[in-house]
Amino acid sequence: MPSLPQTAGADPAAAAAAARPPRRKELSNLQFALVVTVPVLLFLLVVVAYPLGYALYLSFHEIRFFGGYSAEFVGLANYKAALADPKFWRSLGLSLRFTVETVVLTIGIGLALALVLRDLKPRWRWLRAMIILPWAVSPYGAGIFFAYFGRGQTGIGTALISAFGFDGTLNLITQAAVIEYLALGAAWNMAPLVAFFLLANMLTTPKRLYDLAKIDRMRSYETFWHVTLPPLRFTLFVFTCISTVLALKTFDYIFTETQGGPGNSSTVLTYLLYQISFVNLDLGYGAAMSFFLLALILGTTGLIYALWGRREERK
Amino acid sequence: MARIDLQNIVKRYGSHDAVSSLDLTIHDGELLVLLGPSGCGKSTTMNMIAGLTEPTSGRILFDGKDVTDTSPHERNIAMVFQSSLLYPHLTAYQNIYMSLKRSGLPRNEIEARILRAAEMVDVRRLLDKLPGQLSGGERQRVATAKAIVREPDCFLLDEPLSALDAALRMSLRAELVNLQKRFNTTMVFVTHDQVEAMTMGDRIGIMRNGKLEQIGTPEEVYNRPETLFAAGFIGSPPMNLIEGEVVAEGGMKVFACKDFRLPLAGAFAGMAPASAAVLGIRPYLMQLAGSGPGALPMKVYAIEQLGNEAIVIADTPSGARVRAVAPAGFHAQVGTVLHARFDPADALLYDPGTQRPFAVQDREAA
Repeated sequence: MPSLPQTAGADPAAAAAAARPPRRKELSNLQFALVVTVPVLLFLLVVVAYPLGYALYLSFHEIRFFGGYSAEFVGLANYKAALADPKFWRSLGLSLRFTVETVVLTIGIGLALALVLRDLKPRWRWLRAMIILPWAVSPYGAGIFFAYFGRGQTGIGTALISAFGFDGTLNLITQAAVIEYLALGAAWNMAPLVAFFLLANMLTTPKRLYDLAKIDRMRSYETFWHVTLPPLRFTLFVFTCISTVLALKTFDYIFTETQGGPGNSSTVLTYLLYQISFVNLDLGYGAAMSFFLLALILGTTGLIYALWGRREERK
Repeated sequence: MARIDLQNIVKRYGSHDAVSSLDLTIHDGELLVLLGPSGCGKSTTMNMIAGLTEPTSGRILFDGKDVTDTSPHERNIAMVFQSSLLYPHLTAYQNIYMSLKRSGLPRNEIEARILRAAEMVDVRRLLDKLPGQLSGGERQRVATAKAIVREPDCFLLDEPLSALDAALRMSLRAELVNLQKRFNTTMVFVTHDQVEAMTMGDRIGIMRNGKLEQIGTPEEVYNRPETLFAAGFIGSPPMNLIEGEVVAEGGMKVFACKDFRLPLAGAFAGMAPASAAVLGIRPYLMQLAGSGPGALPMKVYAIEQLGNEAIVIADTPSGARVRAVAPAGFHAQVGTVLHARFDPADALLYDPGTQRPFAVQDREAA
C-alpha cells in the first residue's frame, strides 16, 4: 500500500526526548489518492470539462457568424430540431449498423487470428509479432488505403474478377454495401490488438485442461466453449466495449475513405455532425446533436455492461 | 477393474527418448506408484496409459486387450490431474457431470451417481460452488468425485496432491488409499515425492531417464534398492553413500576409503575385490559411538530435531555428507567430531560402473 510519511523537520528538542517515538503522520488512502490524482483531475477539467461545458452552452443557442458573431438563446429548440430531422435518424441508423458490424467483425476476426496464432509451429511463431502491424496503421491511413483498395479502377474487387476471367470493374464502395466495406476495414485495423490480448489469455490456459476435456469425451465445439472460451470472456467483454465506443465515434477513417459517400450512404452520425458544425457552421445545432451521440455512446456501453459485464466481473 | 500391461513402450520426442523400452505390468486392483524426479518419463507413461499420448512403439494391453490405438474414453479410465484441475467456470456439480455427459445413462441415474460420488468424498454441500471458491483440499475432493463417478476400470492420478500443504497432503493421502482399497480398482499414481510413494503404493516403480530402475513393494525398494539411484532416492533422510574400494585382507574383504576401513560381513563378505565401490547405509542403522576401528569419523554440520529422534548431519574428513539418527534431544556443537558405527551386514555395496549391487554367491542367505 503506498503511503507518504510526512517527515517533520529535524528538531533537536524532539531528538532529545528519545523516549517518545517519533511522530509520523501517514496519509490515508483517500488522501494519497487525491495527492496523485489532483494534477490529472485539474488537467481533465481544462481539456474535457471546459469544452464540454462550452458545447452545452452552444447547444442552447443559435450561433451566427455572418453579419457579426451572435449567440441567441433558443432553449431546447436545437434538441427538438434534431429529433425532428430525418437526416439525424438516418445517420443514427447508419452509425448503429456500422458499429454492430465493426464490433462483430473485430471480435470475430480477432478471436480467429488468436486461435491461429496460438497453434503456430515454433518456427512460425514470429508471425505473432508481425500480426500486430495493421494496428500500427492510423485510422486516417487505413481510410486512404481502403479507399484505393475498394475503388473499381484500383481495387481488389476488379483484380479478383479479372483473375476469374471477367472483363470489367468491380467497385466495392457502393451505396448498398459501403457500410459493410467500412466495417471490414475498421475491423482490419483493430482486430490484431484484440487477437494479441486474446492470445495472451489463451496462453494462460493450462494445457492439461484440454486433456481433461478429451477424457470427458467433449466434442470440439464443447472444448472450445468450456475450455478455450471461459478465460477469454472478460477480455472479449472489454474489447466489445472499447470497439463499440471507437466505432460510434469513428470519424477520421470515414472522412479519408468515403467522405460520407457515395452520396450520403456512409454519412454516419459523426460525419453528419462534422457537416453541420464545420461545413454549415451551424454550431448550436451541431452541439445539440453531439449530445445525442454522447448519450448513445454512454447508453450502449451501459447496456453492454448491464447485460454482459456484470456477469464477467472478477470475483 | 483392469490389469494393465505395457510392452516394450517407447516414446520419442525428436531425438530424445522420454520413455525407452518400458515393460510394466500393473495388477488388477493394485495401487502402483510411479516415482521419479521431474523429466523421468513418469507423466509421459501415465499419458500413454490414459490414451492422451500415443507411444512411438510398443503395445498397451488392458486385460489382455490391445488398446494402444484407442481413445481415452474407450479405455474407461478416469484421471485426476496435477493441482486437481477442474473447469473453472463450471460448478462442482457440473464438473462432475461432465464425466458422465457422454455416458448415455438416463438423467436420473446420472444424478444419483453424482450425489453418491459427492457423498463418498464428502463434497455434497460444495456442489453449487465454483472451483475458484473452493480450497485446495476441497478441489482435490471434487476432482476425485469427478473421477469415481465414472466407475472406471482404472484411476490415473498425476501428482494430484503436489499443490497442497503438508498436513492436508497427509490426510488426503490416506483418503485416496482408503477409497482405492474400498473400490478395489486399479490405480496408477504419479509422484516425485518418495514419502507419498512409500505410504500409498502397493508397489512402487522408480523411474529415471525414461527407464524403470526398480519396481517392488515399499519394503523391497527401501531395504533392497536395486540401483544406486533408487538407493539415494528412497528414504528420508536419504541413504548415506560412501565411495571407496573393496580389498582382500587376510581372507577377509574390507571396504576401504580415506575416512575409515570396514571389514565386510553378511552377504557382501563373499564379493570379489573391486577398485571402486559405493557403500550404502541407512541413517537409521548408524549409531553414534566412540572412535576405534570400523568407526566412521564425522564433523557435525547441523542437527535436526524431529521430536522423536534427532538427525545428525555431518561431514566425513574426506568431505562426504552423511546422516545418522540419534536419540531425541541429542545435542552437539557444530564442528564437533563424532564417530558412527553400523553393523557391516546391513551395508549395501554398489558398483559405480553398473550402478547395481555387486554380485555375491549367496545373497539370499544374508
